Amino acid sequence: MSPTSIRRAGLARHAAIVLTLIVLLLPFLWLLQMSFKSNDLILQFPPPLIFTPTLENYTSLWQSAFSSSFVNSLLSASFSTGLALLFGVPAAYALSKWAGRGKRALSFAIPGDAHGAADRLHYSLFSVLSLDRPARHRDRPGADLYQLQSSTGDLDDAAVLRDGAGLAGGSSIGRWRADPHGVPEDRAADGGARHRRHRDPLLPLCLERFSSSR
Amino acid sequence: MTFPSLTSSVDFALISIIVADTWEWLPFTFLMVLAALQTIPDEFSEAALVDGASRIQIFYYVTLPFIAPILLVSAMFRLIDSVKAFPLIFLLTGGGPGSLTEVTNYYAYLLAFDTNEIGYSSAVTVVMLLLVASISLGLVWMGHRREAVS
Repeated sequence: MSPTSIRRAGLARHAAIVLTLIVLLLPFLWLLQMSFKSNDLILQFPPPLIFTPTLENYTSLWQSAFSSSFVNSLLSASFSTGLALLFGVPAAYALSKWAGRGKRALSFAIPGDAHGAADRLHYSLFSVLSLDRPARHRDRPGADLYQLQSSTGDLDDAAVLRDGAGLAGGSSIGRWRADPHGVPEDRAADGGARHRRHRDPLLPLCLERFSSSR
Repeated sequence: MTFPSLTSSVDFALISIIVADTWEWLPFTFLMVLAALQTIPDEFSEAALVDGASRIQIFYYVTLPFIAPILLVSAMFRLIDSVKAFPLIFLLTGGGPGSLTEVTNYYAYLLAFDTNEIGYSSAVTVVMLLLVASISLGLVWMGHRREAVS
């Protein structure tokens, strides 16, 4: 490769990284700038990009119910994580040591069925509860969205796809890091086209991770 | 004999959320651990068995060190997921009774869409993000430290 093409490749890589960072961080940056604005400024249209920041929102944080809600979050998160490990590890250990027939089918059926059942119950319950709930709850923004989600399943699939993509992407990175050059270099030695050296071996890995992530 | 209404009881509301969340996500932990366990070669536990180790000792001294990194990752995923658990709270308790099961992201949602305090809600979300990120970084740091020691 000539020095010019190496420089171009480097520039393209940097541009791709910057673009990815912008796409990933934009919602967070928008949230961050809103946290430094007063409500009047937030509701202004068009939204002002240059403004005098205020710490009012942060100072009133400690005089509100934030701390008790965070304690609730921590309690429920730590207990449910602990319980999942407490029950999940022995169950997986028992199944890994079990040599009986149908082990493979069972190891796929347990996670698939339990999680699928949970998801279905989740959304069915949501639909029933949002109909039975008092008007105050029914009128909440988002209630219609969830009802639509539970009745059509379309948004449900979109959410699953989004969650799965994140998880599969995250876990595939581990595989890339473990052996970033091995397979592509072998392909290069075999005379494979440049764009196929990465695509051919890594795409199946991603798909495999994606299918197992939800 | 009457059973208490779990989700509206002051004593059981938070417990019922924890139980439902655990039940929903237990298979995820199960699958991660099972995948990790299947990568451990049998030779190590067989050698320990020949040396006279009990089943519990084999699990504790041979199996557990192998799956520790996966346990850490799965605990981190679960922790992050549980902290941002929203639909369960919304549909089971609605944050009640009172504000007993009001977790941070539900509180932020109420602030933004019930009382229209969008700036304040954004501040709550930013602080929550920073706290969860610091917990996750702490877990990652623990994992690295453990690897360095071993």
